[in-house]
Amino acid sequence: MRVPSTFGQYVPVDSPVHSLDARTKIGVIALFTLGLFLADGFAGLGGYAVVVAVVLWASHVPPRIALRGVRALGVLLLFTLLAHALRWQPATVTLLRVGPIGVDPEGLRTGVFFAMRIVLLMVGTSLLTLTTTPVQLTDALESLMRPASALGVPSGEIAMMLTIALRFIPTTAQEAERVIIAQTARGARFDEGGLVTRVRAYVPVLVPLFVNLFRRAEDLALAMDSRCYRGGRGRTRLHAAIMTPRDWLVLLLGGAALLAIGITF
Amino acid sequence: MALVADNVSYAYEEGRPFGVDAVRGVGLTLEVGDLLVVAGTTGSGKSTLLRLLAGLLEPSTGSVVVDGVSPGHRDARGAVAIVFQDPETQFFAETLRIDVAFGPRNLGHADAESAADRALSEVGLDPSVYGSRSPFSLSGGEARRGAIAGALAMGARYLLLDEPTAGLDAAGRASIRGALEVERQRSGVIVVTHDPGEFLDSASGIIALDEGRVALSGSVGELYADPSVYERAGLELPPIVRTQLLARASGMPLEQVTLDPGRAAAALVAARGMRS
Repeated sequence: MRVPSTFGQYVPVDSPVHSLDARTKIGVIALFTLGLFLADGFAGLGGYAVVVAVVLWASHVPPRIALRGVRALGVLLLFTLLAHALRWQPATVTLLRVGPIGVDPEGLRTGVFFAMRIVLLMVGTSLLTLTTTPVQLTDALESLMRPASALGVPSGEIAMMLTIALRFIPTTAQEAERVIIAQTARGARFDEGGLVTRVRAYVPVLVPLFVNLFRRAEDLALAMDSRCYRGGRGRTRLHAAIMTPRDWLVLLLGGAALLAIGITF
Repeated sequence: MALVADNVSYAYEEGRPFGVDAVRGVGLTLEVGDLLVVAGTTGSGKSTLLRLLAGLLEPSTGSVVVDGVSPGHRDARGAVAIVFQDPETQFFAETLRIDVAFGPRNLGHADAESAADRALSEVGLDPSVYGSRSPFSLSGGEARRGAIAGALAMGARYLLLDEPTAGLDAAGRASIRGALEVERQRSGVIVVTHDPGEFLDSASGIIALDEGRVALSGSVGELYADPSVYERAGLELPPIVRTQLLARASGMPLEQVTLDPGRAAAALVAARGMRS
């Protein structure tokens, strides 16, 4: 049994998108998200779909990886579509009627619109994590949060917590896989019985997993303490990220274009 | 009745740029009463071989057969028990007795708790003292022995252990060796280790792996007769064994090579007397 690989995991290839500063990408994604919610027609969504397709092509990330998360959203997308499209004993004209349930054409259009918006949001935002390493991402977040330090927000510590949390996702997945295999070897079965039986079967996995995670967290804290970690104040970086003119250009022009699509269409 | 691996190979991420051929064409036979030591350096494929033998990995080529059926067959369920590295990290139950009884209970054994107590005794943990203790309150050595008891309690015909004595003190290692000696009376045992020294006196055979391939396969006597292949695989015999082999190579008539310091010293003194 294998633990599925993490959605949005960094894809290490060379591309113009990968080489952009993480802060630029965060800014563009924020404006993309804002624009996507401002757009109220299919023309706007079509424009964003073209943008996402072009950026995906430029990023050299295989489309099947970028679209992996959409499959996980299948139930949500179906629910969104049906919740808008189906009507109980509708008074209006229906496309299709089965007993008291009818498919409302206007509702169907709205359902498709919202489902498209969710897919674009998912694929567009996942391009950030697919083209940015966790360390670049947390460094960027720390940099963006730095002004809040003046108000007492521990931006350095928050960034370190995020870095560690992201760093330990694959480790935790491996640990879970290891415990599952070990308990399977002791005769445990995870694919037998009803829902309650299957949930209970995971107790021998979750307990050691959490115990080991807490132990590892304590060991890590002690190791960091013994190496004189004293928080984010005064820490310098070996590789300080610098916003190049290209980054500013992409952020300002790209961001403005994305916002314009949402406002116009 | 045997656990047989026939020309087994396994590759991680097969066909991908970072694919690794972990095990290449390995064959072995384990029968009840055997204590087979599989030695190799880190990354030589020992742990992967163990998972293949337990049926937890599917061989890329070759086959593994447990008493005539595949490891996934219904008849093979419970026939093979495996103890991974750091097995104490899989504890989950409130008491050590419940945790050790987890395996036999999964196999539907009616006497799971008595099997747990028997296994705890075998590894030197008094069930009346340790049975009701939380497994999370045990010391490192006690926890390792408790985890190994979890596998012994399953009553499997074949017991596979990955580095069972790593990180234990002398007393802990001795109790594990003692438990395995008892266990091999009713099971076949494979011990995978990068430091097989302490098992050489009791092993019925040894296999040395080098980059996934069998570099050496035979009896311990055959190993002592020509340790060069073993050493080329990056492995090292214990100093006490090397001393006796050097003495033998220099002409001392040593009949038996042993890990026991007292017996080794007596044999060396006797051989020296015979030579002079």
